Amino acid sequence: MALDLNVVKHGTECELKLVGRLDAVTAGGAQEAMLQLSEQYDSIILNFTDLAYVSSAGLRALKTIRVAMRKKNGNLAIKGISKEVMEIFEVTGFAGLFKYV
Amino acid sequence: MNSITVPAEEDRLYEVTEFVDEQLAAYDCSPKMLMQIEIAIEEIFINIASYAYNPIVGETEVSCEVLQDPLRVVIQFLDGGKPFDPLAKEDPDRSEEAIDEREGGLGIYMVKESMDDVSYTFEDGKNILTIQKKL
Repeated sequence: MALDLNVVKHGTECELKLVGRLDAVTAGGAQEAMLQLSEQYDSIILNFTDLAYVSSAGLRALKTIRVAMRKKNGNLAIKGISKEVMEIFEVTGFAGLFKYV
Repeated sequence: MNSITVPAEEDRLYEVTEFVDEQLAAYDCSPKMLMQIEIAIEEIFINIASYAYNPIVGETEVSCEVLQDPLRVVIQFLDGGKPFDPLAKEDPDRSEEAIDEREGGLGIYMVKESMDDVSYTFEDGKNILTIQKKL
């Protein structure tokens, strides 16, 4: 599988670890999973430690979850982003949209 | 020059990226460079599936060649869909407000930013998009 999603829950917080590729093939499923979590939790950490690849389809999914969390005044943060993925964020204007932990 | 022909459908994407990875296996490409090339392939292939062919599904031929002086990979995408020049659009607004409101528009910009050369022509009823990246 091109993307594995592992959820760890701590009370009202949850951490979602994305392992693999966030691309046109996997972004739809990932977006659905993230939106479900956004309904259940006030605080979400996306763990990017093992996320090797993000294309524009992946960025769209991340934008959608960001908008959903802002609407409910929740917290969304990204953990462990790689240099390569950060460069994609910088080129596309996404770098400033997220908090990093 | 080697090539692969597949229906332009989202779930055929990995066949194309794997084909290009195989062509580059003998070269010492950094993970970052391979990622940039794979992203460029994805953005262009998905663009063809979404715009040139939608709702009809047609074939896309992807050819790949490594040239010398300077050492570079040249990847060409050929499809028989509607004439569609993805390079004609202006670069997207990358402000926070624009990102939140817009659906898409970033993919081809990412290709332009990461490749050394991107060109489009329409010849004999075919869209031909060519990207080059120095290795």
